[in-house]
Amino acid sequence: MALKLILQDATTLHEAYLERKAEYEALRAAERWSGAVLHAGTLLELAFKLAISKHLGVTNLPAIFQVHDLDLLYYCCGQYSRFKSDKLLQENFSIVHKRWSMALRYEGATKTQRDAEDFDQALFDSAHGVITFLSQYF
Amino acid sequence: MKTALLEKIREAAAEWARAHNIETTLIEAKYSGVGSSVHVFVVARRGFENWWWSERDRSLFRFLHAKVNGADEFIISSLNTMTEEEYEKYEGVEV
Repeated sequence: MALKLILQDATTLHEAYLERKAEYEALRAAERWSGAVLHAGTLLELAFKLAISKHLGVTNLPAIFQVHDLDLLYYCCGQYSRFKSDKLLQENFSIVHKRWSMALRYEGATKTQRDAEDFDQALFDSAHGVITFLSQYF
Repeated sequence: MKTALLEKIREAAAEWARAHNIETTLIEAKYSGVGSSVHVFVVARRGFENWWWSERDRSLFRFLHAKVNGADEFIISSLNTMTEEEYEKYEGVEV
């Protein structure tokens, strides 16, 4: 039986990451906080998928990774033991995990600047941000 | 034992709530089903309303890691503290 792969290869995923990152920054600059929070989670998902591609050494991920399940992506990214030993990294992931879901796309302007700043710190803090950390691996 | 660890986490979360005069209505600790990841969830009738969510989440996270023996053996991959109002609005919302 042939293994089903995600259509987009790692290069395309990386381009998507850079495009979503530019949109994320534009949303923050425009003070569109709910959009920024939605994009923050999308960036985390893409960062995990890029790290998994690198970890597996493949250009196209298996279709089982075509999910929004952050637990699964977290476990498979190849850095699980690092998350276990770095409590600040783990803390940053844990506070984003439950507060973000794709369901946010159905919401109006429910997020504030403070929410957006919390997400930004958890993901992009220079020492322990989750995406800051993952970006070493893609 | 895995269930003993979850019980320790629940007890520690209850202790944290008492220390902050929080009246809880739900304290849940369960394995995510992926690796050794644990999800922790606390809902309060009173005590969270004037405490910003990320500050109380981080406070609980640090308390649990300081309090529960063997903290290096598990990962808290999801931690959430909610008021009852937030719980009614958001819990159960899935894509």
